[in-house]
Amino acid sequence: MKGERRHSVLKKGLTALSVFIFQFSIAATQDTVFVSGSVQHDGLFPTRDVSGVRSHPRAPWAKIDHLSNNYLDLAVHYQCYDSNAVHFRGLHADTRLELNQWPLLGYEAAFAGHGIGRLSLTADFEWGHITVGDVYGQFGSGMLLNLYENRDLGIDNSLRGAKISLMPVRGLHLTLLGGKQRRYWNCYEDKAWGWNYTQDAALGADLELSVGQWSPRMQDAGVELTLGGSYVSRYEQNDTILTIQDGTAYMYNLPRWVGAGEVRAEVQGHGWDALVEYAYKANDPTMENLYSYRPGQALLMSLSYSRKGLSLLAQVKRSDNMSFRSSRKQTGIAGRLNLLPVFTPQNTYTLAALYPYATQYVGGEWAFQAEVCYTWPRKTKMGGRYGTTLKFSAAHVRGLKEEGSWAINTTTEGEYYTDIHLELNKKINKRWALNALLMYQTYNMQVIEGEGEIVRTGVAVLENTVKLTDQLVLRNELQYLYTRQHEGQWMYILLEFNLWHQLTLSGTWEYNIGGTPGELKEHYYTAEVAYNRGAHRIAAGYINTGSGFNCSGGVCRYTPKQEGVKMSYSFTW
Amino acid sequence: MVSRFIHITFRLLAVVALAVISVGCEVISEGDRLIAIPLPVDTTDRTHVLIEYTGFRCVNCPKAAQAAEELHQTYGDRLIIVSMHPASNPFTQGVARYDYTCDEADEYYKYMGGSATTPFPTGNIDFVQSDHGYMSDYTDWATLLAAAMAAPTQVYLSVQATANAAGDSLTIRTTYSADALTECRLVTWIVEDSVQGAQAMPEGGADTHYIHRHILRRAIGDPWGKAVTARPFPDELVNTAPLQAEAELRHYSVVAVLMDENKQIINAKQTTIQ
Repeated sequence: MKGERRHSVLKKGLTALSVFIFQFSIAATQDTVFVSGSVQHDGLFPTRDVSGVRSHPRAPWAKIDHLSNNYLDLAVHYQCYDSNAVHFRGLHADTRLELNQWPLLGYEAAFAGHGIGRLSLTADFEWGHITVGDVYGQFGSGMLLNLYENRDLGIDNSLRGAKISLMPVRGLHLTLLGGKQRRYWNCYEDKAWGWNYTQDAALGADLELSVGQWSPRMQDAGVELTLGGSYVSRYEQNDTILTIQDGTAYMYNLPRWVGAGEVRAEVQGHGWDALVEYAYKANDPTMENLYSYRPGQALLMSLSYSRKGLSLLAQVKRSDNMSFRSSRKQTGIAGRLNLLPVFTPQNTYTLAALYPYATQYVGGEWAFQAEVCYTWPRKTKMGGRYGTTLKFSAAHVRGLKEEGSWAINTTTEGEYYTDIHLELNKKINKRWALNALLMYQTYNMQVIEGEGEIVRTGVAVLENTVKLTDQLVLRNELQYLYTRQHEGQWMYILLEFNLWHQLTLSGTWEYNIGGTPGELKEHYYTAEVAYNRGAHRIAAGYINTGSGFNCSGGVCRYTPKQEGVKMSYSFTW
Repeated sequence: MVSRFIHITFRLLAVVALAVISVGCEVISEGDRLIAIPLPVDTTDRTHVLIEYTGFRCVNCPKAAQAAEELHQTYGDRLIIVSMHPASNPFTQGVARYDYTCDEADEYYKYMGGSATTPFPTGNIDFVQSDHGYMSDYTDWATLLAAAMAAPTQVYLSVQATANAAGDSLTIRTTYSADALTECRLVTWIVEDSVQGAQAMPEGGADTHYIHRHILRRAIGDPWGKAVTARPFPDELVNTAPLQAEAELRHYSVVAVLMDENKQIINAKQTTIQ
């Protein structure tokens, strides 16, 4: 009897396997195979070695007059529409070639290199996905795990391993993943291509329940309750780290496994969205936190409301020692497993973004954010003929009260950053739209950059978009920044002409008016021509820009002063 | 439907819980965090060099300087500390009277991969490259120094420095030898100690009475020194160099360094100026 059963199971398994293999046959009329991808090139021919990079004696690009970042993404998709025994739905093979041997300025030294940055195979089923290779993903708000790629910053923190996402029934979502984290080109350090887990690895699990899917009463009330929880564990082999205290040598007893857990609850309904999330990380002594065994914690609360013409947002976050990395000796922007949600606005105007905030992962912070956005409807007194949108936002970040002297970035109680925004968006007539911004900002340079003073700025921006003819659009920006600290006052002008919706000619001029001891009194300018056709975009221009920080999601990369001819090309298919 | 949901949920939770337990998390209790070990000491004639890259605008550099001082107190004359202020890093720039930079410091800094974006403080032991490159955080210095101590030398060195009566010229006599023929480079540095000046401090603000220690002022001759062959009997090299007449000689010292063909320091000695 047992033998028959085993035979039956085996038979079913073989049937399923044969069906699975059969699905790969592209002869099936309903199945499709297609290829997608993209090419991206950003290059610079430096005309002057303003940042001293070309004189770098150890830099392999020392005699190279062209710096560039190059990416080729290629994906092959197979989609299956026939129902089958294993509920197979499709297959995706993704790869990315990166040629960054002589990268643009400001990337970390280990970023330089070339090779296959991504390689993965994903199988889609009715009940979920299975990926083998480089996996990305996010648990909850990302406070424990957020694996993503950001080319502007030079971040790709994927795991080389596997990921299984299961949706066995409606309202239930389970994700399991694990692998070795990419830290630039560490996969080439041994011959294992990143599959060697003896040195370090990370494992994670996330379970999310949509309770409202199972409750008719909640469905009738139009309310959705989502409960979730995650667990992430990082393994790293033991290191010998010594410390000498009072003439005695000690070795740190380091945990090889560092675990972190997170729970969250979210209620949505009638335009409201309330989220509470709490994360805890066990002892994780790292170089970044000066080998502190203190646990890390983060609490996030968010309340938002949205209806036509009105949106409200209020958020609070407290985080402490929540830098979670795959390697205890890693610093900089690579090798981070998590990404704390940023509670400060992502400013896009150049002068408004001159002093951007970088999340204090180790030292911790209290962060508060509130935002109100209201649109007066068309044909009202305030709305005029086309409507008027007014947005007010305020963000404030400050240090924790607790003694944080163990943090490498000195934790000091007090204000880290404040940003108060008032933004008006108005379409005056058929051809003219404007956007105006007033901003007050406080920037604690010592905490955020490691040295400096508290900088208080006031920024005013006026942006006009004028449709001169159906084929010619003019956009201009006038920006002014006032401060009595650091480098003093700035002004910025942008002029951009868009012809035939394809050709863009733009020029910017930025000047440091100064007025402080640190004034630069320097002119910076750019001129660029860009041409779009279909999915192609090619651009070339001359740039002379100052140093600064390029930030995204609270993570910042320093970009040094640069001057030269810039070229870029991108194509997506 | 609901019972099926509950059934599946519990099964999945069991799987997750099992995974959690199996990979777990090591919690180290407070009393077990530090394990006392014998102090690693090099029993040969070798003296090691800790290069400390620092800048007066760097907030956390005083912490690194303190860590270096603790190591110096522990190892005594087995360790020489040299603070380098490279001009390539903005932490050293901005106020002319606090400019402690020198060309040689920048030369070594760039050689080790330093740039305008290299986070400070950072440092190096004996010009040796570790898994993470030449530069290492000050929390790693004790570890790297212990590893360096495990490598005894077969090259020997002594140095004497004498100023003339007018105090405007310096004569440096360096004696070197080796157990076997060894091709080396002999580098000589002038180091100034106890310079009072401003320093950004970890607790905020600046200390204008901060004492800067072990500042590399210059190299005598080429930053990478002179090629010499160390033999089983002592050889002497005599260098003369001008001194600034107003210099307080008691704050100056001379550091002689022998580097191998890979530019790694294999022995070093420091002497005050007589």
